[in-house]
Amino acid sequence: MKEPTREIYWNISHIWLMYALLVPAIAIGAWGIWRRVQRWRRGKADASRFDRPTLRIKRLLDHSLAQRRNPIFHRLLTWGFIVLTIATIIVALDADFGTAIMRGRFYLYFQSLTVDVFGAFVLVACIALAARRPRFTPLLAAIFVIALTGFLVEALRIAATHDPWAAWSPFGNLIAKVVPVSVVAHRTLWWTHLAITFAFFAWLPFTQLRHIITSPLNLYTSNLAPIGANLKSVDFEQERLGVATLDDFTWKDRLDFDACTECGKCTDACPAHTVGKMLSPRDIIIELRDRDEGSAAIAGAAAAQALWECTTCAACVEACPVFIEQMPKIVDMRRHLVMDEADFPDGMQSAVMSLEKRGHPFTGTQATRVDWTQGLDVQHVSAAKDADVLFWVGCGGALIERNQKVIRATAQLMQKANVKFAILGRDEKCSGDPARRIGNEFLFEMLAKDNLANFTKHNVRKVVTPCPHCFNTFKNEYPRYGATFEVQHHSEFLEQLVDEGKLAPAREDGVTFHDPCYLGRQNGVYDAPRKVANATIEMERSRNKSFCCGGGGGMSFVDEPSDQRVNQERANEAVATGAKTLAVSCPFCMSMMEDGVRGRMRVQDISEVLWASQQPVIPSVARDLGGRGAMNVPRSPTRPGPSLTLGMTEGEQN
Amino acid sequence: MNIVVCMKQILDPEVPARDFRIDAARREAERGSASLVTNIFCENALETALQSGGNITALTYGPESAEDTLRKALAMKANAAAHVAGEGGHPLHVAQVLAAAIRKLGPFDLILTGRESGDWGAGQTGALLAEELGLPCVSFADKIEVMNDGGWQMADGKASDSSAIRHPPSAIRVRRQTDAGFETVEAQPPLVVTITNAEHNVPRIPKVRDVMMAHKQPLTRFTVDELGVAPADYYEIVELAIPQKETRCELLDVDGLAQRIAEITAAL
Ligand code: SF4
Ligand code: SF4
Repeated sequence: MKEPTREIYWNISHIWLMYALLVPAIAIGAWGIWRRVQRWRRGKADASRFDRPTLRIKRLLDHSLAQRRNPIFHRLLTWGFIVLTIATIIVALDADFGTAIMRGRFYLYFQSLTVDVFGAFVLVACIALAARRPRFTPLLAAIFVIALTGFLVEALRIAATHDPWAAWSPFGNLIAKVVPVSVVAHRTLWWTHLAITFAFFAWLPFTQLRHIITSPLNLYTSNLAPIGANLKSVDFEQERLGVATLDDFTWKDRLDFDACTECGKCTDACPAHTVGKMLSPRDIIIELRDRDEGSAAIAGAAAAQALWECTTCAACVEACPVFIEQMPKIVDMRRHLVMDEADFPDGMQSAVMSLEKRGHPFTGTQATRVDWTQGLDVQHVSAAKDADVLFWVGCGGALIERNQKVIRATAQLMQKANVKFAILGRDEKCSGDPARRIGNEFLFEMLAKDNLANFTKHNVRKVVTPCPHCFNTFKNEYPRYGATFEVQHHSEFLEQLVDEGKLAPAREDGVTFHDPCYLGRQNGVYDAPRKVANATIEMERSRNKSFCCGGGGGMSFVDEPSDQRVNQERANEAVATGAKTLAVSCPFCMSMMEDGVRGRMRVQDISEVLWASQQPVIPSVARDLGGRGAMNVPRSPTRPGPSLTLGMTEGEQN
Repeated sequence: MNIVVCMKQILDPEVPARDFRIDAARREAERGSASLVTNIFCENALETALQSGGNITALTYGPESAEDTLRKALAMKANAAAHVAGEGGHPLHVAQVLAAAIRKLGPFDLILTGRESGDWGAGQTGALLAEELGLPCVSFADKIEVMNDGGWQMADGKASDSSAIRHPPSAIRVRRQTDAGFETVEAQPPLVVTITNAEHNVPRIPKVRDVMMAHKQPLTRFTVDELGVAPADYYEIVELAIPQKETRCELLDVDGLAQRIAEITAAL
């Protein structure tokens, strides 16, 4: 028997015509890609996108080939596409470059069997994806037709030539049994298949299918740091602060736009969108992609309103299969509105004004930063020279009454474990997280520098904080200003104390845990808080897929419409687990979740759960710890009015 | 139109009550951990001025730290700022100092002050200033209209266009808040107006760009000596104390209840 192979271009003449068609197809496709490349090149500089090549290659393979964030059918489609493209190149190499590689085992195993199977994958995947979309998009249809005509051509050839190796192309062989023997049909379909394929490649850069090219580039240049370190710094010498027009985006932002596959996974994951708000990260990316050079980044009042619905939870960033960074772009655009236009929601304005005046974002609070210390022997850093740890309480911890119990529990746990810690008390200022997420980078820098000066003055080497926002800011954003101190979230620190046997482990049952965005998704800490609170019940959306409490990104300072509350949605999910206790580990989550569950279950910080387990078991007392306390800070503080009540009262005016 | 807005830096009135201390001997509030902020009614006055349009000068009398108040005013887009260095003090003295500075900086068509300050709350400076300058005074105003080119021009609540009003206005219309409602008065400039808060004069948030620029702008500086004002000693604070709230609870027996209630009400 002869060596296994097949006659290439059987039944086909005028091969020159194929190359004549190929040239314009490639030219048009290349021109289409070149236009996009030019568009990226007009973007601003973005350093740090090419370091650590091994990690980048790993990410590229993980997410372009293994496609961990994509459904199986998309993977099948991609793999089929790659295999068929390789097979086509092999045909060309064999027939027109005289390499004679399409022979023997290679021909049977790869060029026949593998190609046939992957071709079938493509057909199945097209149907499955179309069913989900839920329609045959023109692009899917084109791929389907290309694969289908390919099979038909193969089947017609097998039928007409009685190919002895036909069994190695099982699907083609199957179809061959039902097609007529017709050289004319074969020849016609062969050219049709070729024409459609070439047209497809020429068309590709002009459609979202360009992601076949752009998404691998985007994956390679994606952000390797934790998401929490994603925001860019601002150069205050620039003419515009933040992003006002398309020109203000970096080349990487522009590549992001072009890499979007329009899959909608980001919008599906977005908490604001889920509760019916206008915000859709997918639409923002697509709108920016389609906007002309130089035009305003933020179109109209509607788009601007959507920017103010973002909690900066980064669920979008985590969900995106091609690692587009949607949330940092939202913050970039906020920066322009806040710093250049002073045009942002009232609640956030009063938070910013309060931060400027008092170093904390709450208006109207009567709590002081040291109220929680009453009856506890806690020292200021200046009086505790031998302290190993600076316990950073945070505004949300010190000034919201309910959270003062959390701070007390954490402090008492540290005292029980003989940790030498001290506090900054009245010298603490906001870490700057809300200012930065709202978009006031200027204020953030001032706060960061003030706090750093304080840390340096007191020679702080290690910070432990129960606030994930402060934690993220210290860890990922202060180093830019020269911070070198170690920082731990209290979940990590308490876990360590339990592991070292200095604290008894939590023995509470029936606990579910709500991941704070800035601890979990944005910094990858998932297990420590679960362990500290012995949280064994999981909500439907948890860990990296966790659903925001609704309080991040300055959103805890604005009034949400009562039928569009993110915290309600999340609270209902927590209640649905049937757990007795909802453990949180963030002062903002605490406020949001207590407001959301409305007495349907108990909300406790992980430190309170753990502290309860340090006591001897006296059931009636243990129950009582950290019960639902009313928040004394309004969820949406109004702008500070006059504090005096002399003369007119509000009601008498106007 | 030229407007001067007199502004005062005070201890943050929002300092938590538990953190508020006074120095009884010196008869002063202690700074403690409280921030220094601009008196809210002064900010309402600046906002009213910005809405009226005109060339605006912010003026303050206070210690070095009071410069922050002027920088903030410049960031909100006041056109110029002047600082009289000194410790402030009693209303008459303050009015005399401000009047002296205004004579040097002027002439002005409109002199605005807050209705009172959030620290002492005396509410006298505006009226005394008018007296010192020999001008009429309209108090507790929340709205100003200006006669310009033969028509009344209302502040639109947004733009601060210093060229909007080119001529010294021939008349100014001021809306006052009174116990019963509103009162509108028309006056010939120049005059002094004290401003109270209303929905439409909530101080604007400055743009960050303007905050940065404000730090580079020059200030006109005076000392009290330069202005030749002697300390006023017409009044003295005799005692300063934080009122003590006392609550007592007494459980009453049912026997003799009526009698005990009568006793208590008599005692009150
Ligand atoms: S960060 Fe969160 S709220 Fe903002 S767009 Fe992304 S998913 Fe939506
Ligand atoms: S941004 Fe990412 S997740 Fe969102 S639609 Fe585009 S590709 Fe999908």
